[in-house]
Amino acid sequence: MSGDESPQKILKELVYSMSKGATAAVIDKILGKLSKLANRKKYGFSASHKMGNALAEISKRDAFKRLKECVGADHWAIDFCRVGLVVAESNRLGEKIDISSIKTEALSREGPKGVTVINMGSTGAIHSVIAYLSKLKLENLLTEDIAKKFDKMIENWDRITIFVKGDDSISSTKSKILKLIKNENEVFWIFGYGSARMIACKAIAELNNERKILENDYIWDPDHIKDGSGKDVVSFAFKLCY
Amino acid sequence: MEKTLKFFNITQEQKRALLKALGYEILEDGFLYDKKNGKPYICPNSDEKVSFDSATIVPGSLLVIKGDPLSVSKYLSEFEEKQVKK
Repeated sequence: MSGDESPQKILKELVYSMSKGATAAVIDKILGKLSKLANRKKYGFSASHKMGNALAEISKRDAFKRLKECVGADHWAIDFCRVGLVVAESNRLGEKIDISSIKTEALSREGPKGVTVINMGSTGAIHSVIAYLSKLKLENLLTEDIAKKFDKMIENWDRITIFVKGDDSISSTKSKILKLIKNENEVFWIFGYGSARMIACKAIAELNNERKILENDYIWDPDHIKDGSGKDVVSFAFKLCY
Repeated sequence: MEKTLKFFNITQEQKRALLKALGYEILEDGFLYDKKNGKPYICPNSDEKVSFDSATIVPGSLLVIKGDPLSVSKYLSEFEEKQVKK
């Protein structure tokens, strides 16, 4: 409960006073009122207020909080992951977002690795990554060690992910997965979008039945997410377990 | 209780008035300049020039920052850190 004026009312008062050539003292008084309100209520003003609110909202979600606990609040990718999570959420809700300008900004700030994090968001993979990092945290790994693993994951992202296509065959998918298994990657992911979901699932099921996964000391976790166009996606996180 | 930022929409007219009142000039190139010294205004968050279109005003003496998602995200990190320290 408060008798505060709304920020919109103060802004209108400011526009009106300035158009009438109000004195500096009057303008300062209005600014003071707005500043006090903004500081106390934590208000911001932006033409992109929806994105601002989405970013603030995602910060309260478990996924983002867990990520901060896992890799540390000061990790370079935290700001990128927050944006990535907003992109993933917008996709899930079928909302359009200007991903290309975000990628351009990410590239200018951190180079390709910045773009990789945004891509993790646009493909929906970011949730699977956070789930994996959370498991490492449960295994009592130190924050700095998890952060190093996350950095390595971002750096090698293209090499530790298979995005199965609708026209891929089951046997070629199995070969790609086996290659990653033989390389003894600590962790890798398989994603199947839309019609490719069944191909990914069948390839993994066959490898599982042939015991090619377990005998090479891998375990896998399935997940279900949405991609940039709202399509259903299956993801499988493979983890080396020795 | 966890305090989070809430962003309000600001019209072009309101933004122009607010930035002018805060001591900024918007020149033909579309960027903000400090009225006192005529120098381009540099976002304390991104260390980059701020255009009128992207200018976002946040709490902290009505601080002006670049309003692209990554800059706002960075600001939120600093904001959250301050909230934890309080």
